[in-house]
Parts: sequence; structure tokens; C-alpha cells
Amino acid sequence: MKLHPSVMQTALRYCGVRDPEDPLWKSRMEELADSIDEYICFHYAYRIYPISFQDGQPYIRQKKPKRLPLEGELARTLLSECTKVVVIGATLGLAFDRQLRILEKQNPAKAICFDALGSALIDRKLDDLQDSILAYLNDLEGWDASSPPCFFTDRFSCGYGDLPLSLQKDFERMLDLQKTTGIHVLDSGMMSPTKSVTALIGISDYPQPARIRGCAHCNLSSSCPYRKGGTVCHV
Amino acid sequence: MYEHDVNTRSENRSEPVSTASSRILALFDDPDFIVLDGAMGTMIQKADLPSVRHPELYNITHPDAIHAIHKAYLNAGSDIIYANTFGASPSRFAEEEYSFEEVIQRGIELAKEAAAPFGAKVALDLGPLGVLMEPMGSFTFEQAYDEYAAMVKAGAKAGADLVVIETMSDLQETRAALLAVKENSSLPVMVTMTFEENGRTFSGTSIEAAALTLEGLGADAIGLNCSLGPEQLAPLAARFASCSSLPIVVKPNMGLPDPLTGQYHLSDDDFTAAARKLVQAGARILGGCCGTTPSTIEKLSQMLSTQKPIPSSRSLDAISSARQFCLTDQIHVVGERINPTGKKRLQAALLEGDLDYVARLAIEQKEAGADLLDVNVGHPGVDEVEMLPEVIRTIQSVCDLPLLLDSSNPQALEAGLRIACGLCAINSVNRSEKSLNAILPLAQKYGCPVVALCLDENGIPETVEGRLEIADRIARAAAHYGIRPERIWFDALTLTVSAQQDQAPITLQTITELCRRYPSRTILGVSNISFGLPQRQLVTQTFLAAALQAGLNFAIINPSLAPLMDTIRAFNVLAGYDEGSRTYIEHYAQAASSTPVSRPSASASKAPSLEEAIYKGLEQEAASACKALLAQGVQELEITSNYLIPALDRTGTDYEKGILYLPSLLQAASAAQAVFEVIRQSLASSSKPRVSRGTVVLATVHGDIHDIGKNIVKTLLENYGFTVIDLGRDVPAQKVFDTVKEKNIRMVGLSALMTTTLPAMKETIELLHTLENPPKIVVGGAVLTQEAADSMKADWYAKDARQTVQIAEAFFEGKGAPDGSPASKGESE
Repeated sequence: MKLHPSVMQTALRYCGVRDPEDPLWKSRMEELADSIDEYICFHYAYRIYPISFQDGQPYIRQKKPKRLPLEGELARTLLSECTKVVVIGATLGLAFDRQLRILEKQNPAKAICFDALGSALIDRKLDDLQDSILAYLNDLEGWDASSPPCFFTDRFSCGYGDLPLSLQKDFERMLDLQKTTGIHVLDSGMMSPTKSVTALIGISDYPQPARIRGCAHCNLSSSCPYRKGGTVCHV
Repeated sequence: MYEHDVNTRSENRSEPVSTASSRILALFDDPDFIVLDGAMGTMIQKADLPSVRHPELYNITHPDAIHAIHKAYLNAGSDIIYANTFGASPSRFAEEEYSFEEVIQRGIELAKEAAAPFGAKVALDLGPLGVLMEPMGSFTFEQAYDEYAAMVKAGAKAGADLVVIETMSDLQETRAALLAVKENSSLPVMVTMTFEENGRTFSGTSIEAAALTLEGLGADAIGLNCSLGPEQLAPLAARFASCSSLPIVVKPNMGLPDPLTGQYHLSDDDFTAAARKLVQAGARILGGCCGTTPSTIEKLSQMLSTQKPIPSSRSLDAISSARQFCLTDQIHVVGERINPTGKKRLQAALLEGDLDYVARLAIEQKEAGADLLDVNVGHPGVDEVEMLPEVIRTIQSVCDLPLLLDSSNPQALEAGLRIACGLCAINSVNRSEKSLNAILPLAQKYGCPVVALCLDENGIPETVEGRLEIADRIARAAAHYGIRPERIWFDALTLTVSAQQDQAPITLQTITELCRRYPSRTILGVSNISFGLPQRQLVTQTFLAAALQAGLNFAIINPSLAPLMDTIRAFNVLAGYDEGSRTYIEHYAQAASSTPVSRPSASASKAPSLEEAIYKGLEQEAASACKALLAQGVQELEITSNYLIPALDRTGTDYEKGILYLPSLLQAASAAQAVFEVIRQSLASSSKPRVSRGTVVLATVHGDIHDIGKNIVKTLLENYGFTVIDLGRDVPAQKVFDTVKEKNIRMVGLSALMTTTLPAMKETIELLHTLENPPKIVVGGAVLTQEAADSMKADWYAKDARQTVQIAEAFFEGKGAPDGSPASKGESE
């Protein structure tokens, strides 16, 4: 499978290789990427919900329970100009975990590279999915009063910033994730398969600025080892 | 080995079993079709009942609403209705106002009251438990079995006519449910699993593997429900029908849900039109899942009244794991290496509980080309009844080949058959009454093929006739248990040619005769033929070719011996099994053109020193250098302390300085592992004890399933000569406590990835501190800090695996001397 260079670079960074052009680990990562397709079965589910605000704090409107509060400053800021949210659950599937387990027994170095590759890949797949959802919505005619075009906020996930991790259980229920994607959310908020993500994207009638992507928005910007070294962690 | 694409070679199929004998069809007057009900959840949503955690509670709080739903489906034409018991498991209802028994009792009563005037039948409905099963999660087969068994007992007591297990994704959980039904009731049982369009469940089970396993375990009807609409399920239903003699059940969704509205997209007419394709695919029991309503079922019922069923197919003659199946005709390689007889390294691993070694043997054999694996753990000092299931769990977590469970202990075999996912084969039964009476009932219960040894209490007959007479007696006894001839794999038995030269042709002639007389299969342990001779491989290889020519199906060999695999690939070409010589060409053309790039290798012609090989992560070179040192008379312990550990120290120091990256550190660890393997082989073969620098228990705490960090720690600790007892991930505090107490462990390492699992880490530490002589505890993981470690009263915080090693060295040997209770702590990042 030919992976986007950004995926390869992100994966190298995730597993501690600071130079993305390091010839040894770049070639080993490419070797793993060549066969990763065999172990990926990307599944996703998403629903679009209307949101409202109480005292500036957003909540999802649904049938039962009628209100699902999206607590914290992150949701408040990101969704401030939105009327709806996309709730997504997606996974690379269990075959990835299985192969990771095999590699751990055979060669821990390969295992950690493979693990990093999976982390980078699920993010990339979500980027692509996000683009296709946006295109789908903007192709729909009159799907509600706020006709196209619509705009997306940054994608953000439970446990990121101050968005509660406990929401993950609600998303599991709302999207019926076990049945639709095979994702299990454990009581700890962890998910199986391990390369799984739940996320929110705000939908607005107005163009939305990048609020959490990029160094300016990162909590670690002052202590970031990449910035200290004159580079950035994102590609 | 096959993913799917079952062809129609008649030799792969058993004789048809009339589905008229199905216990499900027998519930009615041999109908052409059985109409099931539609969605319960959809109808509950429409009824707009107050929100509850578990909709089965409506059986008690809103019985009229549930009764009305049943009645609507019965009016629409349902022959079988599913009681509202899908999720009524003991654990889900543990903290509810009503017990699961009450909910099931009332659910069955409501359905029966509604069904009685229609002459319809009521199914106890069992869905997934909502848990994550082993090996990906920590919920065990036995835990799942207990949950389902309790539900089955309640349902049977309440008067259910049959049991339905539905919407299953995990084959092992499905097996637990099915076995619970079979062992706790006499009710007929239908099983439907949920498949994606690619013909696999989310956990990777293929339709063929599901069909083989569920039919083997005694399901009365099998099929699919949910996930997709009837159009998409039709080709999957056809695959089910093509590999099972059982009636096929299909309960599709009303198409796919709209992400904007959540509504399903098909109309009743669309659904019914597409459902005709399910009939053409071979389905005989049909209903609806998510999104369907009584009007859907009414139209479906009307359509079915105009159709005739497709004659049922025949069962596939194959065995399977949870993912892959293997047809039993033609020629297959059975990997022989997981058998401790004469293998000191494996004996030591089993005695020490080192199952990682067994896992590696499984992976290596698969990569070498084995089609199935023989699994034998019989060795003095090893409790087979406990060890066989453990080894099976380990193998199946990393290898998806079907298994041949090999033991002379029936209790061990049953323990293994219970836990092994897929359809295994049993190795073996012989002509003695004791063996026939103990083994054949197991083959019957689990639907397994069984290896039949041509010997009896008096040993192995020396004539062809003598062996055939025994085969005949075993075949007749098997038939008595309903075991089909194709499920008997005769073993004509190999004797060592250097001791009994006249017996080699007897074995070969017996194979020929067995193939001529029975529609059974033949299997043979080949390697024994050459024992005691020089150049053993030549004799083994030639004997293998002769046995294949005689008609052998299963060759039990070491697949890592290339000449044996060469013989099999070449024979498959000559016998016409390898059509167009495709496999042969693919293998040898690749081998001819490939260069060894996949493995780090020294390019210099001069072999690197052991230290250099480890530093550079060159596994084979490191192993060779270690062997060379041993050959020079350097002791194992000396190699560890004078070569291996200094090399690892250098790697670790360079990693800390940023000269090496983490993967390089781990690559060096792999090379060190290879060296350790050589040392262990050497110690085992000379019966010297293994010297450990100390024993550490490692666990990822309860609720935490990400364990790659813990596994890195384990690898490095083992590299440095420590013994690691790895309790795995999602480990309850009590299990850590019990292990520490039982083995008097002095050091424990705990890992956690997320803030939500820190309380579980704290709980584990608190529990360990209640011991009279508590162990020292080191903690690590993404969310850990020195402050967090201090507040939990851990003895040390380690920022990474390397630091854990330093702490262990200091603790066990006073190197660098951390003084224990919280001092000399690792630096936080």
C-alpha cells in the first residue's frame, strides 16, 4: 500500500525517530507500509445531530436522552458558531491488533513501527472521511434550512483538552459502535480495536478557523522538543 | 488454506443430510419456509416508551407494549417470534431492580401468550454480552459460558420452544453461547452471526469458519442477521448455504441507515423484492432485523408463500480456526514442532510456563508453510489438562491455522476442545476399547475429525491386513457415534526404518489400501522413519514422497525443513493438485529472484563480533556469534555477563544520548533475544539450570488494554537476564496480588496508559501493600509522573523501559542502589 508521505513521517515521529529522512528507519517503515493493507479493515459510522446552547455551552439534541451536554472550554469555543455536529467512530479493525501482537513476539522494533504506522494511518483515514462527509453534505440539496455550503470546525476527540473522556460511552451508544464498527468502549474509556477513534466535528454556516491544529494552539508549544530543534511535529 | 471461494469439488463434501431432519423445521409440519419476526428495537422506539438502560425491562414495566409488538408480528405471519430477552444477561442486570431471571421469565411468558392463538413458537433470544472476549479483551470463554448458561436455564424453565443466538460477531463468544444451550437444555437452537460485505465478522471470522464451527458444535440452523440489507446479504447467504447442510437463516436490516435521520432506506416492497434473492441463495428461515416492521414481515410472508426452497447443500469437509478453513482432501502439512517429545527447549518452556516460545513456534511454522498445527504438551511435570487450553489460547492469539489437538489424556483433550476456537481435529483414537469409549464421544460432541491410529492394546500389527482390520473396527465404532467416514483420518503409523526395515513398505501399502477402501483421509508422522540414520533428511524426504504417492493427505512434518516442503510442493505439481503449477512457480520464482532484504544483515564479509551484532540489531549474526563462543567453550553465564549485557548497556547509553532511536534499541533487543534463545537451547540440552537475576511480575492494570509499552519493558528485562512473569493487560488487582503472594515475588512493574486507569493502578498498589512483606513496585506509562507515582505510594517511577532495567538491577543486585521506599526515583521527563 502506498501511503501518503505525511503518514510515513508522522509514524516515524511517533516511534521516536526524530529525523524523518533517516534512511534505515524510513526504509523499514516503507517495508511495513507495503503490506499494511492486509491488516486494515477500516470501518466507520457517523451521525449528524443538531446542537443548541445553554449559557453558551453546547449540547447535542437527540431523542433519548434529549440533551447530551458537551462540556468544557474546547467544545464551547469550537462549536460556538455551529448548528450541528458530526459524531464519528472509526477503526482500523482487529486484524491490525492481531498483526501487532504477532510482531511483538517476533520483533519488537517492527512492532513499535507498525503501531506508530497504525496511529498515523487512522488519523489520515479520518481526514479523508471528513473530506468525503463535507463533500456529501455540500452535494445534498436542501437537507435543511441552512443550505450549502457548510463548513467544518477542526475535528476533536474525547479526552483531548477538556472534552470529557466519558462522552466516549455516549458516542458508542449513539452510533451503536459495537454493531456498526466492532468498536468496544471499555469502562476506562479505552477502545478496542486499539486503533479506533471517536470524534466530533462542528458544522457551521460560516468558515471556521483552525483552532486546535498547529503550534499556536498546542498545550505543549512552550516545551515542545521539535520546536526546540527547529522543526514541528505536524506535517 | 482458503479464505473463501469454496468450489464444488465433490470430494470436499459429505453426503447430504436432509434438512427435513432439522430440529427447527421439525417444530412445524415440514414447511417450505419459516417466517421469523422483524425488529424489536425499532418497534420499541416507535412505541415511544420511557428511556431505560436495558429494553428487556419493558417486559415488566410495559408488558402491554411488548405483547402488542409480538402480536403485530404474529398477525403479519411470523411462525417464530423472538422474546424480548436479547440483552438479559446476569451481569447487565446485576444492579437493576429486576433480576435477569425475572426479565427472561416475563419475556417468554409475554411471547407465549401472544403466540398461543397462532400456533407460533417462541425463541429465547440471546445476543452478544457486550464484552470484549479474549484474546483482544479479558473476558474468558468460561465467563461467557456461565452468563449464557444462566440465561438458557431461565429461558428453558420459562417454557421457550427454541433458542436463538443472534447478532454475534465473535466466534468464541458464539461458541460459548451455543455450548451453553447444548449443555443446559434440550431445545433446538438457531445461530446467526453478523457479517460485513467482505464476508467476515468484525473479529475476522469467515462464513466458512463460522459454518464449520457452529455445525460441528450442533447448531440446528445457522446464518446471518443485521449489518446489511437483503441485497448485500444474498451472496453471503449463498456462501453459507454452499458449505452447510443445515437450514440457512437470514434476518437482514431494512437497508442502510441515513446519517442525517437514522432512518433505514428500503421500502417494504424493496426489501421483499431483494429477499427473493435470499431464497435463491438457499435461505429457508427468513425475517427482518433493524428497521423492519410488521408490514415488512407481512410482505415477506406473502412473498415466501409463492416460493419453493432450494435443496440444501452438503457440509464442507474441512477444519478451521476462527478465521481460516482447510479442506481435508488433497495434501496438507501439519506442523509437528509443538510437541515436547525429544525437544528439550520446548520441555523447559512448558515447565517454566514460557508460552511466548510456543507462540513463536506457531508463527514460525505458519510462515514456513504449515496448513495446520499439531499441539501436544504431554511431558512429565506438565499438567496437560491445564496446559493444553493455555497453549491453545496462546497459539490462537497469534496464529490462525486450524489445530490438531494431540493428547492421550481425554480430559486434556476435552479441556482443549472446549476452549479452541474453530473446528479442530483430535489426535488420536486407537482400537482399544478404552480409547474408543473415551475419544469418540468427544469427536461426536465437538463435531471433530479424529485421527485413528492403526494399533490396539497389543501394539502395531506387522502386516497390512492387521492394520486394516483395526482401521475397520475403528470405522465401525465411529459410525456408531455418527462420525462420518470423511471425519476419520487414518494413521498407518511410521516405524523407524533403521530398526524395522520391513515395516516401511507395510506402512505405505496400508495407506494405499486405506485410500482404496474408505472415503476417509490419511495422516502420517513422517520424520520418525529416519531416526538413527545419517543424513536423515534424505530418507525422510524419500519416504514422504512415497507416502504421498500412496495417497497420504496429511503429512506431519517440520515445515522449517526446506527439502520436505520442496517435496510437497513438487508433488502437488505432479499430482495435478497445484493447478497450472501456480503455487510452485510463485514460490520458487520468488525464491530465485529475492534477496534477503527483510532482515537486518551484515554486509561485510567478516562476521561481526557478538557485541557489534547486538548493537547493530543483527539477529542471525548475533546468534551465530553466540554459537561460536559456546563452541569455543565459553560458558553461557559468561556470555551473558561479559558480552551480552555490555552490548545492551552501550545500546542503552547511546539511546539515552539520542544517538540511537527507540526502534534501534528494540532491534538490539531482538538480537539479544536471539542470543538468549541460543543460550537457552544450550542450557536445556546440557540440562543446566537457567540463572535468573531476579523475578519481576509485570501487568498492565485493570481496564487498560494498551500494552505495547509493558511489552517493551518485558523484552528489555528479559534481555538483561531477569525472569518476567507477564500477567498481560487489563489485569485485576487481585490477580497481581495472588501471583505475588503465591510466588513470593519481590518486584512488580505496573503500567497504565490513561488517566482513567490510574485508580486501578492505585488500587493494585494498595492491595499489594496489605501483604505482610509487600514487594517493591515500579510504575510507568504515558500518563504517569513522579508526583502520581508518589501519591500512589509506588516505590519507583520509571520514565521508560531502560530505566526499569536500571531499577531492577539496582534493586536485585545493589547496582546504583535505589533504596526502595520512594527514593532514588527515575527522572520524570
